[in-house]
Amino acid sequence: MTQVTNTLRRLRFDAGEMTQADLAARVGVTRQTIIAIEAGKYSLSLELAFRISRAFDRPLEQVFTYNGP
Amino acid sequence: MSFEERNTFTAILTDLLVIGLFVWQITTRTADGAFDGPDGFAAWARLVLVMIGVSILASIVLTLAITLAFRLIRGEGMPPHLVDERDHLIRLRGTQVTLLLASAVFVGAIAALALGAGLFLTLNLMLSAFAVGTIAGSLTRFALQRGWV
Repeated sequence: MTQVTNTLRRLRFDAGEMTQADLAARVGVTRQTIIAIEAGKYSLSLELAFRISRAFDRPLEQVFTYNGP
Repeated sequence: MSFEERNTFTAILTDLLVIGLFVWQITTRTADGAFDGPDGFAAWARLVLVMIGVSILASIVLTLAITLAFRLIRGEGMPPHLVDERDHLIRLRGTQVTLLLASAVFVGAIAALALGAGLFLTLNLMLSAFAVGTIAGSLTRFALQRGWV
């Protein structure tokens, strides 16, 4: 499990119940990658993190939080 | 199932088919004495070259068959040809496993030769190093793609 948590599920819900497939298409990855990120099973790149934040029009820290030391 | 997952699934089936073909051909021809005599190693090498060609053809045919099967059974077309950063990372992990296992079995083959095994057995062990490495790499990729590990 990664030490980066996220609020993707909440943000998708707030964005008119956007599907994982919709988000994946917007940021140019597969639905499987979005599933893995939401489940905390994949540490995404900084570039993808920015793309996802931009898709929700939120600053990075409102989408992702680092819980490590 | 994403494009990469289906590719990996196809690769596993192809690997198993090709390895099965190799084992079947080498064992039956060995039993028939096809590799006996002074031209034995050359005959073995010719068989391996032919089997490499067969495996490439089998891979193409199996990929088409699996795509057709998915379409007929599950109503799925070809997934979009999208390969993202997670796919690249998983490919890398699969390659690492392939290299690690292939190297280990290769060293095992050299050790077997050093301990007095015959050249023919050593050659087959070297060939199996690639087979073991390839199938292990594909299985690792599939497990990572499905989130099992």
